[in-house]
Amino acid sequence: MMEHVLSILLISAGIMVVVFAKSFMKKVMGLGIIVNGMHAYLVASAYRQGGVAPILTPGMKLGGFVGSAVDPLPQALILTSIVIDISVTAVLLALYIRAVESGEIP
Amino acid sequence: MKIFGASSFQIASFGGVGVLILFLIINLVLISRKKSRYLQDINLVASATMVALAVFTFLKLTNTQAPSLSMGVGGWAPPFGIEIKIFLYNSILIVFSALSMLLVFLSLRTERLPNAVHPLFLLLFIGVFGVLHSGDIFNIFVYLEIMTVASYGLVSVSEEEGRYNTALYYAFPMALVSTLFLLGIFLIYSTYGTLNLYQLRMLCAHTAMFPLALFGTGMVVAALIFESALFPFYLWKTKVMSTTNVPASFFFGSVSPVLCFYLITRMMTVFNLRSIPQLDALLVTLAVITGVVVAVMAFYSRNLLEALAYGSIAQIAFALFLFVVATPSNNLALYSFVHLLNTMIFETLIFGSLMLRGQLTGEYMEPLFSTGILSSIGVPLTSGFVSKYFALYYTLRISPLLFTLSVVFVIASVAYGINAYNLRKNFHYRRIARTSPVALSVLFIFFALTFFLGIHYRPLISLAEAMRSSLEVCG
Repeated sequence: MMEHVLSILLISAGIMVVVFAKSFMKKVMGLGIIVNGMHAYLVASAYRQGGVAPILTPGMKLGGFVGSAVDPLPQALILTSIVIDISVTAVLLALYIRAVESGEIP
Repeated sequence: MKIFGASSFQIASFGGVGVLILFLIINLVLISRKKSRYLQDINLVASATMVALAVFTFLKLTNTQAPSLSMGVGGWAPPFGIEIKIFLYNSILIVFSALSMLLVFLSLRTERLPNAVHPLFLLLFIGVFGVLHSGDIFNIFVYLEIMTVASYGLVSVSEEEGRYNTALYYAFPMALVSTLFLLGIFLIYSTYGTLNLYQLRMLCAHTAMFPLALFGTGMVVAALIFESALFPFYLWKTKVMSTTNVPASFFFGSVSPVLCFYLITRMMTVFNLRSIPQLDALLVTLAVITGVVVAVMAFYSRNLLEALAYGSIAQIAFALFLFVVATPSNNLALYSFVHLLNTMIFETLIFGSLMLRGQLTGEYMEPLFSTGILSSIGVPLTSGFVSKYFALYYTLRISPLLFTLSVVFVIASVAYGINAYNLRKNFHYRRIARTSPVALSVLFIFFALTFFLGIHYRPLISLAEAMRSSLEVCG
């Protein structure tokens, strides 16, 4: 529960930065905070007390494995999301740099 | 023959995105080795391949008993594997997107744009085809991001002043909206433990949604409403379309709204959102306000591309309005699909004639553009008349209020159509000596369809009915 609250706080902090920051760079950073808060939320949702990696190794009992293996999908989702977030941030910053260089943004 | 567990037929049906990735790599190699003179021909081959694959899949789908074709990537079943799924609704949109791609790359032969737009457009269409193929909501998000990242770059390619500012004006809110979409997906996953659309549909069909999942779904729909540019989010689209290059405007005015309509209707079907009357009321209100506002704005606009942007928003708002007010006892959902098909035809004619202005002489361009405008207004004998006539007829039979609201949309179409027709004279044209037969023949397909379906409307209705029922069965 505590993890959920912390991740929601992180998301809220990101939203505050996006809404109230005047600098474009800070707004982009706020966006990054929101996305990382969301990743923390998904990690918290998928967390399993005493869970094991979802890989069946020799000697492991199937019943115990099924009962304690963690869900592998959130990791894949978060990894993909991190890559997308980095790409979007890079494009936004590249556009910002171009806009500053061309004098469109002082 | 099987490759990665997929048959040759599955590869032909689902391999479009892979084909485009190969062409994207070729594009990047050519640009890096400064041999970009081959780009135009290579990308035309890519477009023609996509058209062939899309038509093949559509024909195959209509000739089989199965309502859909599905493939788990790498042989993994959902929810762990990514499912790619084609049914009649998205297969028609795939054919339309492939033809749009062909038009874009044809126009790039004469548009004076930097070579970098070639790989960007390829990336854009990889996103479009990926969204249409996906049977998984996270995969839809990934391809939407690919599409929007490519469009950020494309918006900044024009000769207008302030283009980077416009790109940022578009990109930042869009990135925020994507974040909203992703949060919605995570909330749905943490509730149901799957992101496969078919499994989600089975889970949502008979039980009320959990509050957290409902909140997540609301975020997904809100993000799609923003991308559709419905009121109050319409300003980004008009600013972007009036500033950027014409092929990118074509994408925002023609392909993007159709894609958004597809996603909204699919999400509403999957998550059984029609059972929530408050959401229906909200969507109807948004659609009607959008219709009124954009009609006024389109009428007073002095920029052709801006007026067309308002027009494309109004058409999708009308289709959405018909979809949302439909009930099992009336036929309005069917006519929302008829209207969607018509919008695809006349928006392609309008934007296509502008986009290929470097390859069409005035004697061909004027009739093509005017036919598109007449169809968008809903003049008899054009296909645009069919959806508007049936929409007005059935809404009048259901309730005077719905009829009045439908009239608002028809007035919006007339307002923007008249203004766009007048503004065409201010648009920048280059005089050319000879019309390109290839460019003419692609647009002629849409020209012929406008009149054929306007006179013999039964095939249009049958196709729309097939799209609607395939969404109901396979969505």
